[in-house]
Amino acid sequence: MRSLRLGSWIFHHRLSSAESLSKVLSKPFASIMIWFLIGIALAFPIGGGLLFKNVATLTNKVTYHPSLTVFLDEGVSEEKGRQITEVITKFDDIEDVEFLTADAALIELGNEIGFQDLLFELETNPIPATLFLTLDSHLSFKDTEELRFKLLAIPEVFNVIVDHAWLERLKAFLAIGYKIVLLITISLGLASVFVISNMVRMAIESRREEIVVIKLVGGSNAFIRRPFLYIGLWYGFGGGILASIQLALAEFFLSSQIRFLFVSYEIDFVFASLGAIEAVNIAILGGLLGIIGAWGAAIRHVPLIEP
Amino acid sequence: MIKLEHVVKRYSGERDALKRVSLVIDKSEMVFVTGHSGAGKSTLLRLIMILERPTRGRIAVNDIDLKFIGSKEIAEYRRQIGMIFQDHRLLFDRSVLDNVLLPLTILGTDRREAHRRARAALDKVHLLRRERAMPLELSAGEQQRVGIARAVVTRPSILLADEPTGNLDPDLSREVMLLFDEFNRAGVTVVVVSHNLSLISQLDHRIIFLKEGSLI
Repeated sequence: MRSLRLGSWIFHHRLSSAESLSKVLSKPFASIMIWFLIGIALAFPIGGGLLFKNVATLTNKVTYHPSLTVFLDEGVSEEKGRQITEVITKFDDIEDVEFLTADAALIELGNEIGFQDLLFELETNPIPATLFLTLDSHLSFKDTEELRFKLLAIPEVFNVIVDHAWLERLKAFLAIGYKIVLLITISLGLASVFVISNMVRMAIESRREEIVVIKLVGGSNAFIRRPFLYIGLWYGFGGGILASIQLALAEFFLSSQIRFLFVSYEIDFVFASLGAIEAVNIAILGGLLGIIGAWGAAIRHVPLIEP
Repeated sequence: MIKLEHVVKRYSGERDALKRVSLVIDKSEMVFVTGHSGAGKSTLLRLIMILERPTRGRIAVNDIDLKFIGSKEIAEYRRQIGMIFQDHRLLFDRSVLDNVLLPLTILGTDRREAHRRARAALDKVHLLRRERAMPLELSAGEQQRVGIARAVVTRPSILLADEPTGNLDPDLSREVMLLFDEFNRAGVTVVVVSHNLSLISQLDHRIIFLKEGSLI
């Protein structure tokens, strides 16, 4: 008897899902509009997340040795500079210190930027004596900053620059970006839920008479809710499929340009793209959002309709 | 058995639709409830179906006090009662067979068994050959018979009918009443609300008269 009941329950689920799909497809224009809306709402944050994930992977691949550049005050003698070098060499977490006199620093700068002739025509040397510090590779950015302040406390030190600060800033920006994408994901996910909820609410209203009849012959709220939950599922699932298609198309159009950009920077990096499993997951996520939206509408509006 | 004790139904700002009505309808009994418009006939059925709650008094059906049936148990309670409406209350986007199948689907009856019973019910009301038809393709009398088939398909112990012959010609009306009589002889408690005194007088069953909400 129980297996017969289960069979009947499964049959009603199959019937409800098929009928709901048929109802969704019977209004192709409205359904496509909703699928597009949910598709965009899902594709934007997922695409953004994918992009950030790739950039984060790329920044993690960048290898660097933490280093500092210490500029001494103008007029600090070579002898004093070498004394300071000896003091700094004894600091913890410093692997190597290279001292450049003001003249040597000017030559180094000329070599770096390629304007040697112009620099040598200057009446006075604007470059101070400089120390290049190579730090312990495991030193954190916070510790590096602490070391920077320690160095700034030396009276003859004019300025200290953290050479890899740009990478740390980029990582910080990426962390902020990731959180913004997360917030957008939550907002757009909620928007999708509300859109589906509203569509299901309208579907419930349009079938008010039918609901009344079902209640009169003993249909429970759960029985009446079932087809509406499937409507939500189909809207969400369709939106998820469309989001996957949109992301695949975006990747198709952008991948060659991204590859060209990496090659131009001589970066050996393969862009992590959307796979089949991710596409299926997006469709399932859409379906879940659809069920949540439909549930929200059905749980509120079905009990309000009474014979 | 249906038992009403001092039942009062008052709609807000209106006079009492039912005034301290007490009556007992025995198991397997068939009764007619009659009276003029506004006498409270339909209100009586609506209270038994828990479509409304009484203002005062007690209603018990099959020894269950309806006061203790909460909103979640109402659906289960209604499944035990067959109800027939004057306006048929059919689903017009579903075939005759699907309309009759509806209560069995709600009950979770096995699909094959449900089809067998739905066809048997349609056969009983002489509509088996129209099982694939849509309700709008049927006459008023045929629609009413679909409603009857839907009400009896779950083999309820109680059958309530609210003006079931209101839109039917005399011959069809008599045919419908004979159907109810047949169900009653099979052991079903039948309560029929009708203002057609000449029709119900032809059948040998108790007649309950209501006037302005009171039994007379």
